[in-house]
Amino acid sequence: MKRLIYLYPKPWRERYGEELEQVVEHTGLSSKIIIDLLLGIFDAWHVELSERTICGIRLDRLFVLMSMFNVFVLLQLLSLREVILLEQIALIIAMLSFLLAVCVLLVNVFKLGITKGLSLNTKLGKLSMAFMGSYALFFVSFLVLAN
Amino acid sequence: MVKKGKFSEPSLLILISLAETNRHGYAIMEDIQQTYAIQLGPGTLYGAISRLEKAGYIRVIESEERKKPYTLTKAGSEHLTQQIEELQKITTLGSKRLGLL
Repeated sequence: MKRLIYLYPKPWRERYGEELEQVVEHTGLSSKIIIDLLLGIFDAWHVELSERTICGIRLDRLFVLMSMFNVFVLLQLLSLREVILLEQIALIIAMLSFLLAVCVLLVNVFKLGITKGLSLNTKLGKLSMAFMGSYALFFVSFLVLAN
Repeated sequence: MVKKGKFSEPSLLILISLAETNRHGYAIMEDIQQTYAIQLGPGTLYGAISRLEKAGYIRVIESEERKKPYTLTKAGSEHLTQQIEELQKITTLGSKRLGLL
């Protein structure tokens, strides 16, 4: 249960986490409650991100744009019937790595501020860089396989 | 940004529950279950509570106890009144058109 509550945004968790835990202690953790909590987590992140902006762009919209970009690339790839499976896997991993790298970096920036968040001295900064490395590696693999 | 003009059903039920008396999260859930036979999940309940608190319609009462009760604010009371009046207009119109009035 605590793991589920940990998935809520930090400010939300600090304010309502304990109360939510108490309520879940009463209701128990059935599959229905788990689904409800997962929807609540999604909703809380949506609210959290919609209140934050980067260069005037709301973060939730930025995530939607990024996801759409990834879906677009994947759809383009799927429509290429002659592309072999290995290339598809490489591109899917590359795109997922890129998405995760950006997400982890954004979380780090929000946690620690712009200057510290962009440095490599933090755990999340290093993790983001690792995902970027994975992205570069798999994207190069894709290009090599495609040619 | 919380849209003050919009109400989802759980938010309305929570405000009505708090209009009667101050209640903590689980007590609100129980009241809604007993009154309307609607089982709100904890995620839904606290999603609505966080929105209502941000909008300034409810606030938590500081308490020594582990369970902190919520109370309806003046803004919340006014908003609930407005929502109920709107619902009354809709039900009156619906009843008239159905020939019930």
